[in-house]
Formats: sequence, C-alpha cells, structure tokens
Amino acid sequence: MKKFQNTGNLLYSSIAFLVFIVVWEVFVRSGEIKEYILPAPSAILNEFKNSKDLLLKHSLVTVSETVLGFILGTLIAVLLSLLMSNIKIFRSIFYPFMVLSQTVPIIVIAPLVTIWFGIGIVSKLIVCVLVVFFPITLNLTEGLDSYDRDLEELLMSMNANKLQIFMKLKLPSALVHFFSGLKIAAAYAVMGAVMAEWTGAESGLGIFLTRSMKSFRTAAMFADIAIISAFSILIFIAISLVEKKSIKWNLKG
Amino acid sequence: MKIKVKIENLKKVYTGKKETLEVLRDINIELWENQFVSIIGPSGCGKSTILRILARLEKEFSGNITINGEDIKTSSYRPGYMPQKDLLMPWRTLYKNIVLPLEINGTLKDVEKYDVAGLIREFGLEGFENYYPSEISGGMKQRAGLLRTFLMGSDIMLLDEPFGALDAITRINMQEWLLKILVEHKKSVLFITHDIEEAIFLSDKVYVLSDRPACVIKDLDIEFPRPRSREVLSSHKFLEYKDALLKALL
Repeated sequence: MKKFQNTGNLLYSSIAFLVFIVVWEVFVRSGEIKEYILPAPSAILNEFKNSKDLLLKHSLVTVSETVLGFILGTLIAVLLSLLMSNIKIFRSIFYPFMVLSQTVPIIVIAPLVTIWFGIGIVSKLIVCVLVVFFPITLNLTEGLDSYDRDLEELLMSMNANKLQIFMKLKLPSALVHFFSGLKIAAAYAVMGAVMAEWTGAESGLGIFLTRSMKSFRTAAMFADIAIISAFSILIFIAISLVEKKSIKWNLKG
Repeated sequence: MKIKVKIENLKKVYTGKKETLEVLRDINIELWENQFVSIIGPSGCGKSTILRILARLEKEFSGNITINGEDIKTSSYRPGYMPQKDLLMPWRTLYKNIVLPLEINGTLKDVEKYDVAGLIREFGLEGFENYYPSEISGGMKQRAGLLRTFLMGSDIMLLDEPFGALDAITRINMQEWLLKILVEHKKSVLFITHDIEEAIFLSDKVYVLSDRPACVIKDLDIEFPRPRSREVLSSHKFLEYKDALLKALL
C-alpha cells in the first residue's frame, strides 16, 4: 500500500511513458521494420479502431471470467483462513495440501481442468480460483495470527469472550495482510483466465491472442496485451482504493 | 475504611518443560479504600505477575487473595487493569479506543451514563477524539489508556509502570495530574514502578520486593499530606524516605 503511494509523481512517469511511445514510433518508421515483427504505436491504435467490436466482445468474456473467479477465489480463501485459524486440527490437515497444490504449475493443471469441465466458463473459473485462493489464504491466515498478544490479554482482563477477541482484535489485525494477498491474487486472476482460455475456449482475450498470433496480426496481439495489462492495473487500483478506505489509520500515521 | 485488595502468602511458580521457576515466594500486600500503594523492586522480580494475577490473566497460584472482600477465585469482580504498554488499537480512533470496555460489556448504548465527554475533557483529550493513536503524543496515549481503564468501571486500578516510557518532564506533569484525578474519582490504586521517587511522590504506602523469588522485604508508609505538589520532591523528609527505600533495595 505504501509502495503504491510512493509510485509517487504520476507526472514524471507519464512523461517518461510518452517519450517511450514517441521513440518507439520513430524507431519503427525510420528502421522500416515490418509490421508483423513490431508494429508502431500508431498501427496498434489503428487496430483498436478497426477491431473495436471484436476486442470488446473478447474483453467482456475475459473480464467476467476474471472478476467472477477472483470473487469466488476470495470467498473460498476467506472461508479456509477462518477455518484454519480457528480450528487447529483443520489447519494441520489442510495446510500441507494447500502448499502441495502450489507445487504443480497451473499451466499443466489447466488442460486437465478443461478436459474435466469443458471449454465453457466453469473451467476458467476453476483455474482462476486455483491461482487466486493461495496467496489470499496464506496472507489472511498469517494475518489472523499476527495480532498483539498483549492486546489479547487486555481484552481478556475486560472479560471479552472469544468472538469479541476475534472481531475486535484478530480481524482488524489481519486487514493489512489480507489486502496484500488480494493484490497479488488480482494479477494472478487475469493470468489464470487467459491461460485457461488457451487450453480451450470459444472466446476471450486469450483466444484472441492465439488467433492473432497464428495469422501474424502482431498489432492485434499488442492491442490484446494492452487491454489485459490495463485491466490488471484497474483491478489493482480498485483494490487499493478499498484498502485506503478500510485502513485509514496506517496512511495517516 | 474498607479493605479493597488483600494478598496473603501469595506464591507463584512457573512450570516449564524442563525446569520450574519460582517467581513469587511470599507476598503479603494490602490495599485500602482510596489508598495509593506502590510496589517497587528490581526488574524481572515478578512485580507485574502480581498485577496479572489480580487481573486474572494468571490463574495458577497459591495463597489467598480477596478483592472487595471476596475470594478472587470465586468472585466475578474485575479490577481496572492497565499494562505497561499503552496498548491502544492502532485502527481505532482515540474515542473508539476509550469506549472499548463499554463495547465489550455491552453498555455502549448507555454511554451518556458514564459522562464520557466529561471524562475526555478532564483527561485533556478533548478535540482529539477522532485522531488515531499514531497521531498523538506519548503522554496523551497514556492518558487515553488510563481513561479506558477508568471505563472498565472498577474503583480498583492496577497500573503497571504507566509512565515508564515518558520523558522526565511529561512524567512529572502526569504524576501530578494522576494524583488529582484519583482523588476526585475516589480510586484505590495498586501501582508498579521501578522509579523510587515516583513511588514516594504518589503513594501512601510503598512495598519493596526482593530479587526473584520475590518476597516483601520492606513496607514504608509515606506521610506527606494530600493534596501533594512537586515541592515535596525537594523536602528533607523525601530524602529520608528515598534513603530508606534505597537501603532496602541495594
């Protein structure tokens, strides 16, 4: 969160970005580089105009897969964390499996999921959930355990019950961790959706990317990538805004 | 006068996996109504353990303890307890921190009854209700912690080195202020400190504990009249008290 704030002066980075685009444009034009190798920014912009409807159609598919998968994964992660932090036996049984699940790269699981659940949205959601739940569960579980033991004692001296200690101490203590988990997961979610599309889908930005690749429409690929990255940034910003709203005390300090 | 806290033959042994650690050997302490009693002793001698037992954070001990005449093991009475650190929750505003005890015991809805606004004024925290702990000074944090302890609703206060982390000037101001507040609110205080002067200045009685395992090696009545001001700090009598306590400690 602090880092996000410190990305600092947007003015300077915007100027740097503009310079980069201009240099790119000049480089491509002067060097007579073929468009299928590296399209100029203007060509990519053109592609946006020409394939507007197509890009929009594919974007909507990927966006809905990602958002749904992200929400679903978060819900599952919250549930798992709550169970693990409150029930010791559940934690000792489940934690090793959770870590084990991450040792198999998602790129080799995705084809399996597609075989089992078809090329519809279900397989995309499952892959999304699989990449999203881990960082959130890990961070939240750790967060729920990171509370100040002295504060717990203080609450006990006030005769607080277990639920009160959980709600008033453990949960607020975990918020910072929870949000770092969410931000990591957000980037993974988009990747998960795109990757799941590669293993079989009718539409989506991942499909559009592979189709463009096969026909050497490099400008279309760049347009596709631009949308994916813009979408990732958007989710990140959205989470950061919610974070700022819920963790005021840390920013003021 | 009524006796508020009576500790008789208190012993406490921590039993670890390999070894046992005897912390308190034989502690006898009395706290009477409206009295201010300090406990001093070498660091690590188990002073805090006594308060933790009274706050029911340690349940294993032997000996007899009564609070307000009731056995601590059967009584449901909870004294106000303030640990060493100010322990304000960083995510709560000052006001929300202060009313935490009311939230816990479910009486937040009749908050008017406690005159919280009046207390906030008296504790010099007015205007800072919506600040977060990270935005206020150490002295204010301690006052907020103390006010929170007040709102635990007991007339017995257990204070564990509340001014330990403050600078000398803030500290003296806080001591004078504390004396004033306690008189107005008729509190009986059990106070832990390692600062001899602080103990003499604030207390009606000072208990000196030995090194671990701790016993009471001296108790000394401080006979300065109340209300006290910081002038007593330079009186001859003050030096005599200080001398007596130092002799017991060293």
